[in-house]
Amino acid sequence: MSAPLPELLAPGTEPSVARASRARGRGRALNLRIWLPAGFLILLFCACFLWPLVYPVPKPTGGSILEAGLPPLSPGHIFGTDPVGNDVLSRILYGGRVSFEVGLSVTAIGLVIGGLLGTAAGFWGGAVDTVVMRVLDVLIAFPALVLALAIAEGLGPSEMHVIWALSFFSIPAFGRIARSATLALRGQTFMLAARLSGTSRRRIILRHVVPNIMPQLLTFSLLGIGVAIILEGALSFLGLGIPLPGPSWGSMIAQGQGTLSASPELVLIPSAFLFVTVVALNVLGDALRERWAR
Amino acid sequence: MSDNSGNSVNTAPLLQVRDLVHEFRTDLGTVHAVSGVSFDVRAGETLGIVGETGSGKSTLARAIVQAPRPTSGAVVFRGADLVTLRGTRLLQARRHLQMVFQDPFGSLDPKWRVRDLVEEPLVAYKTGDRTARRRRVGEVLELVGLAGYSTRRPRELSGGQAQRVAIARAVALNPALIICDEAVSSLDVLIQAQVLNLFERLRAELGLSYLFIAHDLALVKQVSDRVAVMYLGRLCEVGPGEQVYRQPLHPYTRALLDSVPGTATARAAKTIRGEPPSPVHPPSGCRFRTRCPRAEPRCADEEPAMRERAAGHVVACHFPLEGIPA
Amino acid sequence: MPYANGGPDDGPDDGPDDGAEQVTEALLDIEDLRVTFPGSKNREVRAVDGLSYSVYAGQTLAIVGESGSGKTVSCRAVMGLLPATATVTGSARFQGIQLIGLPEDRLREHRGADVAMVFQDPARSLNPTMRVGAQIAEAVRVHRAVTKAQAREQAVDLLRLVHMPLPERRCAEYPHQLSGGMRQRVMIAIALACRPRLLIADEATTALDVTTQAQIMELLLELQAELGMALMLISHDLGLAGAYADEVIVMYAGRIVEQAPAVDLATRVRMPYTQALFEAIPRLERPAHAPLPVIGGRPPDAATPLPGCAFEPRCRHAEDDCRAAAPPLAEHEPGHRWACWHPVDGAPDVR
Repeated sequence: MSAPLPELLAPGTEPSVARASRARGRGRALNLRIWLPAGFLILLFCACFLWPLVYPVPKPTGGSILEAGLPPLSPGHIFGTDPVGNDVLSRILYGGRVSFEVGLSVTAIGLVIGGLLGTAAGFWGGAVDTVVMRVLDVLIAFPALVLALAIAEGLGPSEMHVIWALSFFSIPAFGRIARSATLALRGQTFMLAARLSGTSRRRIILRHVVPNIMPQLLTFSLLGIGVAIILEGALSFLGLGIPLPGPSWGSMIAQGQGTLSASPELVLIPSAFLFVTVVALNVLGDALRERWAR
Repeated sequence: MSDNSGNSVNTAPLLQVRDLVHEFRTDLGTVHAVSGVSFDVRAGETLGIVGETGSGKSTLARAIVQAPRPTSGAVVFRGADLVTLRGTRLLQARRHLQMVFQDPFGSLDPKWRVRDLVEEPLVAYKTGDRTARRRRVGEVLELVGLAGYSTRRPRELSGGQAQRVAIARAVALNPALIICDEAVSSLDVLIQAQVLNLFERLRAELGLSYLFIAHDLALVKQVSDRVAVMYLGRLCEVGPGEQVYRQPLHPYTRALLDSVPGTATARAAKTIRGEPPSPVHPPSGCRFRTRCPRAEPRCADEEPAMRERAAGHVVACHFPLEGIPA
Repeated sequence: MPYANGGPDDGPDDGPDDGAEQVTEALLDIEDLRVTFPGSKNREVRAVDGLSYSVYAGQTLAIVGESGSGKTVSCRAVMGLLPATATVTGSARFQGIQLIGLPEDRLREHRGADVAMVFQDPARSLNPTMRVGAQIAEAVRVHRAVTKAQAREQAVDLLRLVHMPLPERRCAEYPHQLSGGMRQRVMIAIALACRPRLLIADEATTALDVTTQAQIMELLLELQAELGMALMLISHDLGLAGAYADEVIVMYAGRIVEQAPAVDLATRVRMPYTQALFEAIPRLERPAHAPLPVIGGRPPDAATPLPGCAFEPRCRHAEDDCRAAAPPLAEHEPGHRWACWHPVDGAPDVR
């Protein structure tokens, strides 16, 4: 417990006293927890999307059987190849693209739609609140796997369908966060002060509510991207996500199961990437929450 | 010449509150926060309202500015009854009525800069173009002694500075009346004195009127011309500050005076008993009777009406203290 | 009131503990207490900068100061309630036992039994999920070997002691069902559970209405006389201190700037800061709209202490030597200590 004592933060105190009472060095550790994972994620993002554009990387599909089952560190195949002959590194990079695309899309959809709905519910309350919350409840009531299965069966597995299915949960999740954040804000005196200043409702939402709930929503977004990536991985693992032979970290793990004892790296490498990416997102999300909850 | 509220009827008052009632439902029942309050604030005067927790003074303040609209009653400000107005008409009528709150940091959006905070009412009421608005912001910040602070954010300010930003914002549109709801209660004593002096200076320079709400009797008397004492949703006594202090007519006022540390505090135990009742179940008749040493059966049966006992000095009590000096 | 053992009338077994006997040996002896916190940019924040005073049995001592003066931090240092990041040096002896640096389990023996504290916000200091009676009983059982039933009986007795109406019924209620004044009485009951020799009231009445404050203060004084306790009032309210304390200490920027019996302080204030405090308080006697004599500025940054007097930048009477060296706290008049090179003379301006 190192919360500053009430007296040191009381109104009238020199602000630097309040800042100074935080432990020395914690500021530096926090910076590390922000920039290290952020740097990794940015690097990974660039690698997945930009590297194949500038450096010749073997295609992730259509590999030759002649190159099947090569171990890591083979010439031309840093991570080796899979039983069908595809370069593992390439599949990791293109699979990473899928993870990012799904993660970012699902989160963006949730943030925009869910955020809008939740903010409206929290701000206007009453009937609006009830209607929005019931809609969100309906969305959240759908069992994840059943829905994904139904979509995959009915419409065929694809990346877009995965995104739709996962959005079913990100929308209500963001909706609830936005709603509770807005409700907490409504009790604040500065909201009343803004109304008394004559500011219109629309302007209050845009200039007062949104900037103040954004930190919470953004932190939740980072954690949400991680969750979406894992869920995509799980769906692909089950064959309900990205259809083979398309690359996805999840399906790579599923495929690698068959040759686990002979070539464990086929499971370990995509698992490691999945793990580190999600951990980086979580650490960054937590660190930003700390930084912004000053 | 005065009417029953102890107010002069010669010039139309700036603010006329009549039979204001505000009640709201909670899980525990209906809270009778304000139960029939009437008073006037004249142009250029400061009316102080003293009340403790549960008196309803903050609810009263918010009901006056229609946030939220009171259950019933009239709030006539500059000739227009705010309770009956809606939309743009209410917006225009409220332009000259501003408020400063208790928590200096709570009333400022932490994400905004000082100049945007002060500019907000100017933007809302579309007064002039950007240059004109910015100039006004500069003027007002200078007025409150915060020139050069325009790009700061609230977290970079001290309590006194933050409150001065709130005051600057309230003054930006040149209002006629400012409601101060415990505006200095969260500040340290020396800062509090600075801000009080600022209030007085603005009053003199800008011709402001104030409705000054606080729980500290000495503080209220310091800044007010007239003082109203409020208990559990009703006014007990209204009169010139000096007179209410020297010759309190209501037993509750007496108790408040006796409770101020340093002034015969030994009497406090005798002039008030027990705990304040809940505003959900206020006592019948006179609401103060459960703690009043002078209570009689009549006090439970009949609600005392506001009656004038001296010039401009009214009291709502069946057995007021007569001529007992403080 | 028959109790098998450990009844509330039994105090600690050393020293006299009945009546208001004045013992010449101090109950609590603070000497050169310093508390620092780590600050940003490798600087240290000096919250308390060399505090020395004594509290005697049966005495009421008030420590007055604004936010940042160090008054709360110093008391929490004595009670061992500061976060681990705080560095505490100096001496705080309670009846000869050094409290600074004492390990937590030993400190716990003293907390509650010898020294108890009542805090400002009873709503936050009481457990909202526990009934009031249970919380008091818990406090009793910390230091006394009694059964649950006995503890509950003692809880009712304690509520009676603090003049809580219908104590049996209150014991079964939760904190949110009580008013602010009643919650504070519960806090006092908890603090008194094991008959401490010293009760520290840290802004205990600040959050209360003025009428309730008067009642609580009367209660504290009455209990003090009845139980022979010493009472320390920490407050920002100089008026409160003057009305209820025997002796008043004024703190500024982590140091004591003036100390005197309450009566003397009001009439013969010496340190300009104390005078400024007196003058800034709204008074009933003052005419309305009279401008308050104010001093500008703010207390100094605790991370960058000045070599001279901490109050110098804001002082009307400051001279060059005030900036050069900090004036020492010394007893310039019998019973009246102050730290000022150019003290003011006489009564504060009350006009």
